[in-house]
Amino acid sequence: MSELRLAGIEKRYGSTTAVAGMDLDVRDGEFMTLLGPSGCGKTTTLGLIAGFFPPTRGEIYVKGQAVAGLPPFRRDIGVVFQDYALFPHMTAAENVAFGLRMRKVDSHETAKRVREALELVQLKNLGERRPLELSGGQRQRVALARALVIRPAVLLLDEPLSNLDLKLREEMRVEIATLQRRLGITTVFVTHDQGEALVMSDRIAVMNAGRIEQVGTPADIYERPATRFVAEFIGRMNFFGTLAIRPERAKLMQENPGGGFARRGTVKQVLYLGATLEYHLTLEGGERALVEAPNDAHAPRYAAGDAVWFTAPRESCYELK
Amino acid sequence: MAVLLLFFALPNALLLSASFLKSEAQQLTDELTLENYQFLFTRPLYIWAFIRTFIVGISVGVIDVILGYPLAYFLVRTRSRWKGVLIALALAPLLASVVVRTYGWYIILNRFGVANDVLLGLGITQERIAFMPSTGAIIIGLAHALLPYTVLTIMGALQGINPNLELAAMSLGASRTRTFFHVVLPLSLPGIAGGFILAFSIAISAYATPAILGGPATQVMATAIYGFMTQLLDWSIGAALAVILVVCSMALLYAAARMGAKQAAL
Amino acid sequence: MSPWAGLRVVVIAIYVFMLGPILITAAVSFNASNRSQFPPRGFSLQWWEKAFSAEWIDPLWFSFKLGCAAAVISTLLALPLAFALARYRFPGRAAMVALTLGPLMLPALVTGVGLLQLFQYAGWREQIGFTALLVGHVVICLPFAVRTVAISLHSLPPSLELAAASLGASRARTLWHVVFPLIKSGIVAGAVFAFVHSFTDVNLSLFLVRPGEQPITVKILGFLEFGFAPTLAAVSVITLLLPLVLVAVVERLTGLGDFIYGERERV
Repeated sequence: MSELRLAGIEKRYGSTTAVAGMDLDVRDGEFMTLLGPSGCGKTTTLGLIAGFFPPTRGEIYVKGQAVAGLPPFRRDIGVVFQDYALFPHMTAAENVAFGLRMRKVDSHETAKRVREALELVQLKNLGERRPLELSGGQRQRVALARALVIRPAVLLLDEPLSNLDLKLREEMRVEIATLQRRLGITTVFVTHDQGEALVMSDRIAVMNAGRIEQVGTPADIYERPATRFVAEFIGRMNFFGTLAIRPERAKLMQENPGGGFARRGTVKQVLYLGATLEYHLTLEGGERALVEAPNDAHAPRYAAGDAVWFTAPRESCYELK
Repeated sequence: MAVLLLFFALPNALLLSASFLKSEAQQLTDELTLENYQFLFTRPLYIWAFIRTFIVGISVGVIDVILGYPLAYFLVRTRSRWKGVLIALALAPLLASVVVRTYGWYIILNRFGVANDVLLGLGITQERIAFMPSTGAIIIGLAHALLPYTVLTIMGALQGINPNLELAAMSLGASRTRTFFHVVLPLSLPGIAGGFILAFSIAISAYATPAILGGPATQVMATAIYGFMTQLLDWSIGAALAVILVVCSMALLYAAARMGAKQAAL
Repeated sequence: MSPWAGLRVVVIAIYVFMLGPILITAAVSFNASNRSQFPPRGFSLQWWEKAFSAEWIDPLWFSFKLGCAAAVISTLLALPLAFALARYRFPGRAAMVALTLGPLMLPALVTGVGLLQLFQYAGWREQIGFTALLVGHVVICLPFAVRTVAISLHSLPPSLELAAASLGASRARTLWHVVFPLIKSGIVAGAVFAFVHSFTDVNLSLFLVRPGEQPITVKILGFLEFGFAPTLAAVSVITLLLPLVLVAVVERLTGLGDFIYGERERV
């Protein structure tokens, strides 16, 4: 049985539909990411699961129990907010202890669990500090500890990494994913960053305008996108009608090798990215194309103005439905 | 700049000096003396005026915070489309002069007024009660007049509280009531204190309401000052009273500023 | 009953408390008999007629003139002050802040008393009346204007002026083309607050009046202490409506609400 199930969930605000008829199953212990551009309804969906507002229609099941009528404090959830929402008038330890206090856990046990939780997120000696005295990354960890210490059935994370700088973000991605795997808590993670989604998730639900376009493993989503939107949103794609070719699967050649896809074109621009080279082409029919080539010492280099063939083997061409 | 110096600093300096001068036959003399202050601190009438002023101030402060908080909370959290109108309604009374607002209480509280009519009608009393002039009437009138100020102050404090904090508390298992007591209330304490101080400081220097709803037997500092300056024409004592009032106001201001500094750090 | 519904009930009760007396005053003004009675007996407009007689219109007009003058002067003085305070650091700045905002903090009563003394002492006895009142009102209204203009200036990113300068605008032209249009709402708000504060003031005005030259508030107060007629009620309603209409109109034209509501965050 799924740990979390959304059935026919809809959320309308007046004439705007934020979430439209959504069905989703999240398995026990799974890391599910809701991925999509801003405004696609992913944060609204999270809010519905948390119980911050009721759905216009539909039902939500946590561990098989219908919860759509229940307020957040009666749902077995833990939430990490984008701005962390730490209580400024409490220390880090008191913040983490809050959920346990609400559940009337005795003080001895509380102290123990708070200590463990802070250790888990590597903030062992910072329990007595106030949020104001902590860095962004530290605050985020406190928020995480606070949500985890209550051992919720479902952990909800709303773009928790978007306020961190790049290095920290990449570090935390891995940390959070590892932590989740270790603890085995069913997790729903919301983000607009496809890199995060691909690295952290067991499965990804790509959303657009309130609807789920595709649910699948990162590989499924990347290599077998169900719709044009998904194909375009994740990574970059070359489109030829209903045929889609990833730039890293395409190759530039002097001659048409035959078998597979091939088009003549001219190199318009070459971008040097260090590890890769990006070739921006204009093809015969006037379309634009992109080829990503590894910065391989042995491969031939092309320059702007060169006449080339844009080619891709048959197995790298994906037919969109 | 010079304007301010001349017309603000100077008069206050004058007041201070006048309070130390002796007055004779309604004329200021050049004699330095502390007898003005002595006079005030030894006459029961004036000691009572001080005490009454403070009782009024504290009562008004407390009442207005108690009444103002629910209203402020509602106005900040409501999602009704009449929010703007409701806020305007809550602040509109400030546009009427204190005199106008107090007049309404006059109508309600006098012997033949609404309050008595209602009580008689409901059979709670057998006779008409003289609600005014009295200290109680002054407190009611001032509490009414100054309520918008506390509402504004507390609204400001509540505005600064991140709404996600309440959601976070609820997601951690706190019911709405517990969320309020554990998260919202503690964080709005500076606003409550600020609202109290504001109401208190305006209340202790109020003239119109005590004049209308109080009487010669229920003087406060402001009415006493007026009496001295315009009727008794004893400017030294009037000045002394004014100085005392100013000192109290400044002390309060200082306390408020200290609290404001703490709030900014929060 | 859910906590929110309970709150609603409490809030309604508080609104009744707040607005009741004012509405009662308004109702009394239509009383047919010569008593300040509520509920009013009968309906009559006679008191409203009396309210428009010279006896009341004169002080009303006086207050209006005074308010306008105070508002204009306060705003004009506020501009350089606000600029100096918001933009520059200079020795004595703290003193200036204290002097500017001081009247806001000190009881108007005391300022009134002090001014009375000053005028007597300096031999300006003749000026007590409109002139003295104007001076007093400007002193207590100036802080409002300075505050709102300062808030507006605060929210003006300094990079805008730098951009104008880089595009060739002199200091004066930058002020005229870039700064003023953007702080317009602060200036207007300041003027409106100054007017309302002046129009509703009684504590300061009390001490600086002379027969024939008194604001409406003082006049009403005088009558209240000795006699009470529904005419007073009618006049009172008028003194409420005037600022109300003014504020409503200005709110429509510029976002006045931000300064009342939003200023708490920024100051």
